[in-house]
Amino acid sequence: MLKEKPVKKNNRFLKRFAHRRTVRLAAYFLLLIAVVASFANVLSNEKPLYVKYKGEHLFPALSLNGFADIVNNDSTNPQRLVYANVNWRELKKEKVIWCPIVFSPGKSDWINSPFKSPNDFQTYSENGKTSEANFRNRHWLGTTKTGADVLSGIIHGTRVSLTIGICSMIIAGLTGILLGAMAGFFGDHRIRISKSGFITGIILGLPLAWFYGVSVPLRYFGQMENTSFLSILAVLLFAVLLIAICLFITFFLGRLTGRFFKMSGQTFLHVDQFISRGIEIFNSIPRIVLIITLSAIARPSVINLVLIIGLTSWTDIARLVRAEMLKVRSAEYILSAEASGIKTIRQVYRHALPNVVIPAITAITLGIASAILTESALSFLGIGVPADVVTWGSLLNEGRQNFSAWWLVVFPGLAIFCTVTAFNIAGDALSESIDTTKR
Amino acid sequence: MRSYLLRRILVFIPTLLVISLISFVILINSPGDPVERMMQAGGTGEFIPAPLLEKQRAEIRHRLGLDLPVFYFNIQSAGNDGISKYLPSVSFNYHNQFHRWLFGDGINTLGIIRGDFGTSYQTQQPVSKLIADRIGWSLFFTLTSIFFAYIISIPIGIKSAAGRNGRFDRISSTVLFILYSLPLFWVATLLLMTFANPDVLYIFPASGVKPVFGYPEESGFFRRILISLPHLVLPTICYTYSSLTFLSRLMRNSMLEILGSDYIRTARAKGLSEKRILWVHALKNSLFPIITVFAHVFPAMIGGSVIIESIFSIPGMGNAIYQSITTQDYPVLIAVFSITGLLTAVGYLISDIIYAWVDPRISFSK
Repeated sequence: MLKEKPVKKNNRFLKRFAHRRTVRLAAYFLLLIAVVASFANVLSNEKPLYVKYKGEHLFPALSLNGFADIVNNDSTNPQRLVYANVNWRELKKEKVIWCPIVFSPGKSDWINSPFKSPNDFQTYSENGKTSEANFRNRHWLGTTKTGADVLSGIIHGTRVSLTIGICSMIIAGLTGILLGAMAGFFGDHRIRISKSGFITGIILGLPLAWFYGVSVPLRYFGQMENTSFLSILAVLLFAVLLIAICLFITFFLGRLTGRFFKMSGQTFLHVDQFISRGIEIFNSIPRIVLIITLSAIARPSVINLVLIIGLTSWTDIARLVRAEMLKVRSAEYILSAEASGIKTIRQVYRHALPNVVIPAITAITLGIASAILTESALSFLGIGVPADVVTWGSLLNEGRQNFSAWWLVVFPGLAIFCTVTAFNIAGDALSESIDTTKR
Repeated sequence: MRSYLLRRILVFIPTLLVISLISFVILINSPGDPVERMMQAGGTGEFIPAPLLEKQRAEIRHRLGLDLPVFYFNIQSAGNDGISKYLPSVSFNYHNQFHRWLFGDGINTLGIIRGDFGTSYQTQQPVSKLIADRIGWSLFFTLTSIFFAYIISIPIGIKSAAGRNGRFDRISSTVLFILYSLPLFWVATLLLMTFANPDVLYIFPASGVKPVFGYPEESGFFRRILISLPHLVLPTICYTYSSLTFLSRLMRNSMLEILGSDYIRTARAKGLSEKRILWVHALKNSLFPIITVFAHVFPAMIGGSVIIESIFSIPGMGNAIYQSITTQDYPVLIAVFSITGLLTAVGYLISDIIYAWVDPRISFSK
C-alpha cells in the first residue's frame, strides 16, 4: 500500500524561514536589539538600580514618578529626593547596585570631555575623590564633545529607532493594507450604488464632511488644554465618525430624492481606478524630499516623525496588497464563498485578507529598515527628532564635526548598518519562504 | 498607443495639481509669521510709533496677499456665537491666496507657473535666481552618477544572470546587499574621514566643488574641470553607489527573464555561441526595464543629494534645502520641493511613454 510521506514537518513556515544561517543570525540580532530597546532604561542609566539611603530602599532607575520622600528622624518635614537632580556619585548612600552602564544618554561628564576615545586615559570622581576610571566607570565606546557616553547613547538610540521604525510601519501597513485590499477586492465593477445618492454625496456630503470632520475638530483641537495621546486619538475617531455620518446622511438623502423623482439609475464605484491613480500621483512626489520638508515645518517630536514617515510610505504596501488581492479574488475559494451567500464584508476579512497580510508583512519588514534609515538620516541632518533626544544619527552628526573622533562615526554607523541589514535579511527571507516559486 | 498617451497625460495634470496643493499647504502652515520676517529684514532699527507699525504691517500683509481668503472654496462657520458656530457656510472666491501664489497678481508677483517663487527671507533675493544658480551642480552630479551607475551595474547584472547561482552571482549579490544596507551618510562620513583627513590620508579636499580662492585667472573651461576634479570624486562615489544595487538587481532579473524566453532557446538551437546570444540577442531586450527605470532613480538621487551635498558642502539644490531648513527660509524650501516634484513627475511621464513605445503590449490599467 502506498503511504504518503509526512511532508508536513518539512513544510513548516518557521523552518523554511530560518533555514539559512544568516537568516537565523539576523533573527537573533533583531531579538537582541528588541531586548536592548525594551530594557534601555535599566541597561544604561546614571541612576542606580537600587539604593539604600537613610534606611530607605529606593529603586531610582525603575521609578515612574521620579522622586521619593525621605522621612527624617529628627525633623517632621520629609525631604524630597528628586531623582533627576541628585548627584548619585556624591550622595551618601549606605548600599548601592548600579546599572550595567552607569551613564545616561546626553548627560555631560565634564571630566571626560571633550572627545575621549575608548582607549584614552579616562577619569571618574566618586565621593569627592577623582581617580582613573575602573572597569565599571569607563566610557567603553568613548565620549562626545560634552563628555556624554556613546555606548549609552547607542543603547537609548535603539529604542528611538525601533519605535519610529515599527510605529511608522504600523501606520503605513494599516493604510496600505486597507487601501490596497479595497482596490484589489472591489475593483472597478463590483460596487454598484445609486447614482443620485453618489452625486449628492460628492456635492453636498464632501463639503459637510470637511467642515464637521476637519474644520470643527481642528478648532476644538486648538482650544484643547492638554494634548495627550489618548485625547488626540479620541478627537481623531470622533472626526472620522462625523465624516462617515455626513457622507451617509447625504447619500441616503440623495437616494431618497432620486427615488422620489423616479431616477433610480445606478453607477459603479471605481474604487480601483481611484486608489491606483492616487497611488501613482503620490509616488510622483519625491518621498525623501517630502519627508524632509514636512519634518522641517512640523514641531520636532518623535510622534510627528512617526506620522510623517508612516503617512508617506504606504504606497508600496498598497500596491503589493492590491496585486495579491487581484490574484486572491479570482481564486476558487472566494468564488465558492460568494456562491454560498457569505456577506461581502465577511468574504474580505475572513477569506481574502488573511491571504494578503503575509506578503504585506514582508513589505512592512523591509519598510522598517528604510524607515530607520530615514530617521537616522534626518537626525544626522539635525531635523525630525528633538535636539535633546540622543539617536544614532545625532551621534554620527557629532562625529562629523570632528574627524579625529572616529568612535563617534564608527559605532553608531555600525549600529544603523547592522539593524538595517538584519531587517533587510529578514524581509528577504520572509518573501522567499512565502513565494512558492522561489523554493 | 495614442489613447494610452492621452490618458497618461491626463493623469499628469492632477499630479501637478496635487504637488502644487501640497506645496501650498506646507507653505501656509510653515511656522512663523512672514509679515514679521519681512518687517525684521526691512527694519532700520529706528523707533516707529505703534499705529504706524500697525499700518506698515497691514501694508505688507496686503502686498503679500495674506488678507485674501486661502482657497477658491471656503467652508467656514456661519457665525461666531451660539448655534451658528457649528453651521457651515460655503463661499467661492476668485481672488484667493492659492490662485495668487499659482498665477501671480499681475503687479507684484508672477506666480510659480511663471517661475516666481517669491523672495528668500534670508537673502532678500528672488528664490528663482537662487535656484537657477544651484540647480546646475545638482543636475551635473545626478546625471554623471546615473551614467556611472548604469555603466557599472549593467555588466554586473548580465554577468550574474549568465552564471546564475554561480560564484560571481553569489559574491556580487552579497556585496550589493551589504552596499544596499549601508547608510549613505555613514559612507560619506567614512570616506571623508579616510580620504580627506590630514591625520589619515589627505588625497581629496574635504568640501566644496572648487578651490577656496576660486579658479586661477585666465583658466579655460577644461582647465577648470581639471582643477575641480579632485573635489568631485568623493561626492560622485556616494551618489553612484546608492543606486547601484537597485539597478544591477533589476538588470539581473530582466536578463534572467529574457534568457528563459523562447527566442533565446531558438538561438541556442541554431547553434549560436553563448557569448553572441548574451551580448547581441538578449542584451537589447533586457535593457528596456533598466532604461525606463531612469525616472525612478532620479527622485532617489534628489533625496540623497540633501545629505551628500550638505556633507560635502556642494552648492546645489540639496544643500539649498538643508540651509533653508537651518535658517527657516521657507520660500526656498517650498520652491525646491515644488521643482523636484515637477522634475520627478516629468521623469515618470517620459519613462512611461518610452516604456509604452518600446513595449507595445503595455496598456493603461493592467
